[in-house]
Amino acid sequence: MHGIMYGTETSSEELSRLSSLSELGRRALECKVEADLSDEAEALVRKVVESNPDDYTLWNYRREWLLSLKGEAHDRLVKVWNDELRLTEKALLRHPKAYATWQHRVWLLAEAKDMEIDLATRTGLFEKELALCSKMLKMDARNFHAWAHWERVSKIAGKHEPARVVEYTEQQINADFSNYSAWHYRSVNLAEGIPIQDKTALDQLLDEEVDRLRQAFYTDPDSQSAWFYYRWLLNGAPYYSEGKTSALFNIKDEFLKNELKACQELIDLEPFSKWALLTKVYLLRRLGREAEAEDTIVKLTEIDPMRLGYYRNLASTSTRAV
Amino acid sequence: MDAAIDIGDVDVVIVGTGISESILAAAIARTGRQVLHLEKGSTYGDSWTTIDLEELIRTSEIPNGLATENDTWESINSERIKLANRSLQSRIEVVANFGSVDDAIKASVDITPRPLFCNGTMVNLLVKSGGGDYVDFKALNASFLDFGDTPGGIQRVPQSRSEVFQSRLISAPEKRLLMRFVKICTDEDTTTDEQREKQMSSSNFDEYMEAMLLNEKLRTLISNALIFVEDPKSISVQHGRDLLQLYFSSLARYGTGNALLLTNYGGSELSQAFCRISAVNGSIYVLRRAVEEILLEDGAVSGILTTAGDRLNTRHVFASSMFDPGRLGEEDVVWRFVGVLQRAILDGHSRTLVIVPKGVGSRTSTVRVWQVDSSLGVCGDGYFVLYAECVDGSGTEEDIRSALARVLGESYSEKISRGIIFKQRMWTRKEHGSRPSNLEWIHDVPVEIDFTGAIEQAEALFRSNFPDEGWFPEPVNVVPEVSESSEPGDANASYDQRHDASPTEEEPVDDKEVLARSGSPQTT
Repeated sequence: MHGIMYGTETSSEELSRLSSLSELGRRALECKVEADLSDEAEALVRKVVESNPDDYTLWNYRREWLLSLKGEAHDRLVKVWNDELRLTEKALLRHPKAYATWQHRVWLLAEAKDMEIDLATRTGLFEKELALCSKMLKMDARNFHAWAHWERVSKIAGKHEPARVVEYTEQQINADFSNYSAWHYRSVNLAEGIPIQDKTALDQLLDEEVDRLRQAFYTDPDSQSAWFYYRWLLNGAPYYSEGKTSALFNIKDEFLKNELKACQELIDLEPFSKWALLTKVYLLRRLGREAEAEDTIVKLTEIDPMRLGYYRNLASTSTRAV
Repeated sequence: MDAAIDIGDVDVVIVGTGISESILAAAIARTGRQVLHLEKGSTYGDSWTTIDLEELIRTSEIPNGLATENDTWESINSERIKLANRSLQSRIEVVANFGSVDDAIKASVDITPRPLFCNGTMVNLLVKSGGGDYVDFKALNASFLDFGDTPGGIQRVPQSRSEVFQSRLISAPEKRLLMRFVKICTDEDTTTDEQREKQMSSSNFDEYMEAMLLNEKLRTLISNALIFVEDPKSISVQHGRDLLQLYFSSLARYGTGNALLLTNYGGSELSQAFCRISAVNGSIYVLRRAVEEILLEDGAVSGILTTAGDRLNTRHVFASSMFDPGRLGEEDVVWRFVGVLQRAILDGHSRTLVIVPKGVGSRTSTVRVWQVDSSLGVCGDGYFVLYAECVDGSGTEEDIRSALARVLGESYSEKISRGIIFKQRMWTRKEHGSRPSNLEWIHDVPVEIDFTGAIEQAEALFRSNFPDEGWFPEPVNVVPEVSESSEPGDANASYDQRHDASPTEEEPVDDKEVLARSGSPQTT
């Protein structure tokens, strides 16, 4: 999780646990070399991946073992699949960001059909995935694996539910508006997630989004996730669908002028807010007010000398979008 | 029941199991001294006790035992001090009754209910002393403030960053001013010279808030609901900043989303936690026994005579000032309400605090109203215990009634299933004539959030009487356990076997059992 340090000292018990674990890992790899698909080998591998969920070689080995069960009785397969999902869950609770484990879970769900596990069972499995994602996000609302898993699983299930995602991102943003993942998945799903009937509804949606952002900017102007989402909105909220990119909103100069005014109000309160100033540069350029934009960039170089090179480059690429 | 206390001489006798008394008992027992701790009532806590609501109402009907001037004169001579014959009912005078006896309503209520800060003096003392093993808490869910008619009645107080973000009460520019002010007050490093200047030139906290451009709404919000001060003009800039720091460090401590905690099973658990530390360090506990007389020799305390006729020699007596025969009637009063509801106030929140400030209506005192639910183990599912207290001694019954009307509506009396408005008598006066040097009176402490006054009193008495001893030193050979993993909402590790170890109002343990328990001291 963010900002939480791992312990710096390793206790003697931990050291002995680690050394016995590496011994087990070595033995498990030997089994793999010998292509041993026996129950004993399986139990050994299970023990190792549970403690070390990052070991992708051993997860691969487990997949070989799982595939070897093809054609067995349906009941047995369902049990094995449930056990395997439980194993990955245990592993994820130990290490919530183990790529190999998340990958293994996705594989299990994708492969269930090929293994001839029936539809009812598979539907049940997918419901559990959403519960797992919620559980993992409750532990760490910014666990990008859990967010991505939700998307992947929805795709496999053929149950893409953008409205549900948009609603969920709102909850997460309310809980912590510095949650970049929440803003990101909101942007990815917004166009499809909100049924837009007419222009009035679109205008209203834009107002609501901007108002929510305004609350975030004024509560904490240093929280950058909201500023990124704002930039995306000012671009008309572009989204990719059916092979082409379209914009959800038609952004007019009038709107940009209003936003510039609001941005300036915040700068009046917080003259050193670099995100507000950077956004001001962007808005000025969109409105073709290059000279004022350059003045603002000079100010940025003064208050944020650590990124001098970035601002110089910004000044030199006046025609390009910021 | 009336078994003799057969332990010979003791170093210290403590009379009463209020918070200060219990903390003191634990601190002294930790020094290895033999403590005898007596409680006149049948539950721990004295004025901090947790008691069945019906029993409280019944108790208050018994004559109150307030002393008259004659008693005083009779009570003291060169050989003995005859203690005042008072008990819990001396503290309570019921002035209004709501609802009628209903067997379905079972509630354990605190006489002196009190929320505490996650990073306040009590939690820190529990951590330092190890008392945290014996008590656990739930966080408040939400705080509200009554703004009167503008900007419109009772409003949710935005506390954490996410609540400020979502709040509809304050506008975006106000959010910036509030957040900036909080940051300046809680993080010295970010303070600019200009801000420091304003801090220096303001003569009180209210002026400082004004200098920092906070409007009236924000100033009301901060003083009433974040630092819990009625009049921010009455405190210094530094004091205000310290209080704000306490609030935000409390908010951050356990990730509960609220700065305040409520004690599971009621406030007397806190007294019991310290009595337990005392008992495992060898102290003797006897309930339902009081001190009749303090015996003197050459102007100093030499022993005590209990109500059951036990006579013991001792070098120190610490007694609740309720028993001080030099005290006549009441010195201070706190107006309170306690009652049971069958519907939550401000729907959707189970543990809620509402501040109804002095300025609203014609109130003479700010009233704090709060509701606890069955998750605290004090009432049945679907019931709620509601408390109200005047934070100022100048409060009145009318203040309580008008606050109830704000929170429950004008027809509040119909919504209260069972409850009382009562006057709580307090003996807070510090100076009251001469006494032997080895007799100390332990005074009642004024209303506040948390237990700072009670803890400071115990520490001051401990340090002046035992200047060579440490105040809850780290125990040797014990590895302190850090319970960082506890669930949000449960600030401390849960303590399941509380009924095995600490007698409560539901299961009074008879004296023999109490004596047996403390008979095998385990020194740390």
